Amino acid sequence: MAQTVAAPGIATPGITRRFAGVVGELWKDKAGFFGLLVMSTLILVAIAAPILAPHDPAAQSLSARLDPPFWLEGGSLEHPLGTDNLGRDVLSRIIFGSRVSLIVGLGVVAIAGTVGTVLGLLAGYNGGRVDSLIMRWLDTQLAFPGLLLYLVILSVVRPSLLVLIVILPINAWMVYALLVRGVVLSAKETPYVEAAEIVGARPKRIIFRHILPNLAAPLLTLAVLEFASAILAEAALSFLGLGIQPPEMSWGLDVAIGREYVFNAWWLVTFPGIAIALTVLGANLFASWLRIVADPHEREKRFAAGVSMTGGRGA
Amino acid sequence: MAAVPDMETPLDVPLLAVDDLQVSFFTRRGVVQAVRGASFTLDRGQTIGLVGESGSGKSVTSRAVMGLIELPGRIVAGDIRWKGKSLLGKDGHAYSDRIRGKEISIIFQDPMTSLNPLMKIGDQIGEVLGHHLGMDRSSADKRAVELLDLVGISFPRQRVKQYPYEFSGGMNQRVAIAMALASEPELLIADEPTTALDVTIQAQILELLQQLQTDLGLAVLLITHDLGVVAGLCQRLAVMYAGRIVETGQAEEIYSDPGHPYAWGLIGSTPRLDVVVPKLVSIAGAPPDLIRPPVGCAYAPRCPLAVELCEQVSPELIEHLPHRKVACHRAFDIRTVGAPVAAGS
Amino acid sequence: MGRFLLKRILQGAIVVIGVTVVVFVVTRLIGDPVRVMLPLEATAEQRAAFAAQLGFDRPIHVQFFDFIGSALRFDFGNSLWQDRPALEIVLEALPRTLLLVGASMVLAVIIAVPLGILTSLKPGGFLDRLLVTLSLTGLSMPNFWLGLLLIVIFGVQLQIFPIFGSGTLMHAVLPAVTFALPSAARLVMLTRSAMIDELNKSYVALVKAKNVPFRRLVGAHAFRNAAVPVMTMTGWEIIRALAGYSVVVETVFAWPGLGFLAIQSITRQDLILLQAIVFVVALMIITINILMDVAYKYIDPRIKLT
Repeated sequence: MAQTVAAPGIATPGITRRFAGVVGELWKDKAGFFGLLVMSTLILVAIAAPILAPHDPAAQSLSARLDPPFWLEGGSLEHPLGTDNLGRDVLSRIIFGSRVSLIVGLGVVAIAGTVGTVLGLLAGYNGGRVDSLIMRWLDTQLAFPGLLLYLVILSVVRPSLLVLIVILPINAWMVYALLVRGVVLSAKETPYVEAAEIVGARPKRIIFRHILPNLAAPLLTLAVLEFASAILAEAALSFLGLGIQPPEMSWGLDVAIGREYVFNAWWLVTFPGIAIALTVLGANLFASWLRIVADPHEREKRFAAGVSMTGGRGA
Repeated sequence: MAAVPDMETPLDVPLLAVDDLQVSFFTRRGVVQAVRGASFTLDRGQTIGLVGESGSGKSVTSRAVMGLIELPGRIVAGDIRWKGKSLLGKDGHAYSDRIRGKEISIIFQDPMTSLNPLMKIGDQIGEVLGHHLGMDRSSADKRAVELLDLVGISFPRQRVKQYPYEFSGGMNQRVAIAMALASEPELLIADEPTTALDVTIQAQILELLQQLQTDLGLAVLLITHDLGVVAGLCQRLAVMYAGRIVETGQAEEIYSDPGHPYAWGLIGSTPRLDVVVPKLVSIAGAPPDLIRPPVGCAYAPRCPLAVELCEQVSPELIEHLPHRKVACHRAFDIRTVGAPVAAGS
Repeated sequence: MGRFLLKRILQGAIVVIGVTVVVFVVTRLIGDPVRVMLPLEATAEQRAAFAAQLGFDRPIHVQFFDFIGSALRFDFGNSLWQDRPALEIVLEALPRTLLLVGASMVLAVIIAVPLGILTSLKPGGFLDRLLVTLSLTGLSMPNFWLGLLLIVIFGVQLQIFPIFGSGTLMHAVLPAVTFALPSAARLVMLTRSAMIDELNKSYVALVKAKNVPFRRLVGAHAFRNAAVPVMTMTGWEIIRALAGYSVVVETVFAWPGLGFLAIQSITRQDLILLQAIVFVVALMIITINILMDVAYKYIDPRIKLT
């Protein structure tokens, strides 16, 4: 039984090598690569929507109402994914709908991420009264019926894109705060932070130089996941009629419109739904890939699992 | 109880024979050759200490005997025989299933994490009794109480109903020992059994192991980095370095007259209470990288006696004196440097 | 135990008061309840009369204490839409939501726990990768869309299950599955990672060394320990379902539970009914939290209830 398994040489220091390594690894992890692809596509489509869309998404056409997708009887390449009850082009509406998803996702992540990170840093770094105050607030709010709170607000405020971006972070900030506080607490225990405190480095400096770098990877992962859940929340509220209002466009809203025609025009609910699911899936896959690259233990396990594929016997 | 030799195996066959064992770990950085050919034997009722610094492969060896090597680790070569029959491979599978956990049992380093936190002590002992001795619930319960009493736990009748968190570290190690003895084994592997404990508790646990060994006629394989621990308990010694066994023999003989420069250094760096030591020495340098182990003797870069041959040819483990094997091109030349305790002065 | 319960109930009361205050602030200060509840064409006199009838013309602090006081007596007033006590309507809808959430959680746990355990035994293997991908896909689907897909497939195409309303047990199948699938997906992932954590622990190595049957190693040892986070997650899923998904899923299937009622109360501009719903849901969440804490005590003897 000679040793036949050679070790693939990977890590050699050097930024370019490291970057090439990360990209290479992303390519090897097909799911992670798919995730990145979906997210890049979303951004590109949202920016280039007017160029990409074959039709004006709001243009109605009485002669082309409820046309099926092109591969079905009665469909044509004029409207590749068919038309809705007012003869509007489904594909163009999906292309333009990506803008709302992207804006809500980014906006909510930016606001909730900032608020949550700052409060988490305050709680974790200062400890004591600040910490217990923030944590008590968090505990209380976690017991709050989240979506119902949105409903109460949306019952008295006219819903719009801006309103969504402002109210969704009311619940979304908490996960960031919990994550950041946790990381800061464990980072505070590490020798280098203790040493920095002993030599009298200023708190701000300690946070920026020593703690924030530790936070980058988990925060990025969380932000991608939360981007996905913000998109889901917007879609759900728009579906309920409490989010984006017509004539604005949103995938959730389009599913709600299609719901009325679910018996004779299945494509109206199907395609916008696929757009949502694909976007969220892409973000989830990308996030789980990020978590693995950021965690040396995870990477080691992946490697070991790869070895087990090549055969081998644990006695 | 366990010491009665069974009639099937001839007496000249060792209880346990580890033969040119090689264990590798397939990591991203490369293949770590943790054990690179370890050989030793152990007879009935005998005690052997497997000694070496951390990373020398002693723990991996013991886990290989116990069948606990898991991916990314793998036994790549060699054999482990129990009463002459191999525990490895397809044929060994059914046999090892009867042996491991029944005739061989093990205790680990950290008693606080090696017991299931959510299961009562009595049940953790009881499942061994139930599975390996076929006891029913009530006789297992009774036996568990007796076992706790045997390892010196007071109020055993109440204690069986408690959880590990209600015990101290030393008491949990006693529980682990009771659990290991439950199957009435012939060999007990003790993997750094005292390292995680307070010094006073260490002495108590060692005393217990020693007493059980003589009372029950157990064979013991003691894994430790601490020669002081071995001294009281083991008749024989196997010194391990960088995945290989570099010296084996009677413990007392190795102490007084080490044949391998590493054994000499190890003894010189161990504080002893029974001998006045003028000065403790440490071994300079670090063990080699086991991803790319040296061609020659792994100890050569740290060895005060190394010559050119040592760098080029890896020495075999050869019987230099009766029952005394040393893997060194300059075996026993260390005598010229002086007694280990006087080293460095 | 008694002291613990008392403490948790007090904490719960604080949350309930918090919810009530927030609802008050949002509905009275951010929005104008009279404008929300009356149709746009109402005259100024009608508005004034309506405000006087519901006490909205009184000073804000008087309204506040009156509101809190009556909320704590479970007296929310009459629903504008149905003109009977709001609480009565809520209590009619509550069991239907509980039935749906309960059934779906049982379903989710039955599906997810065995699959999670199975995947954890060979991480990185084919089954593991397949199930992880399926789970990720499952939890990426918006549940209103999942519900509609199920309606199209099982209700319209195959015509196995009724698709709207709540007449029979069959009516509950599709909404319960819609609830259960995303929860099951999350639970598979959690069970898997919790089991992988446990299986790598030192005590499991010792159990392996004891060479007891593999089923016992997995069930009595590793899963017994992994059950603690799995239970926490299940509790969270129940809360999520009650306080969020019920609104969406019940609306898709027109299931007359609390969630659908909440949407109806908004479209009917019935703030009083909405307040009652929020209050009752908050109470349910607190109760579930306390029940979970008590359950911990039974699952993990190390936990002291203080």
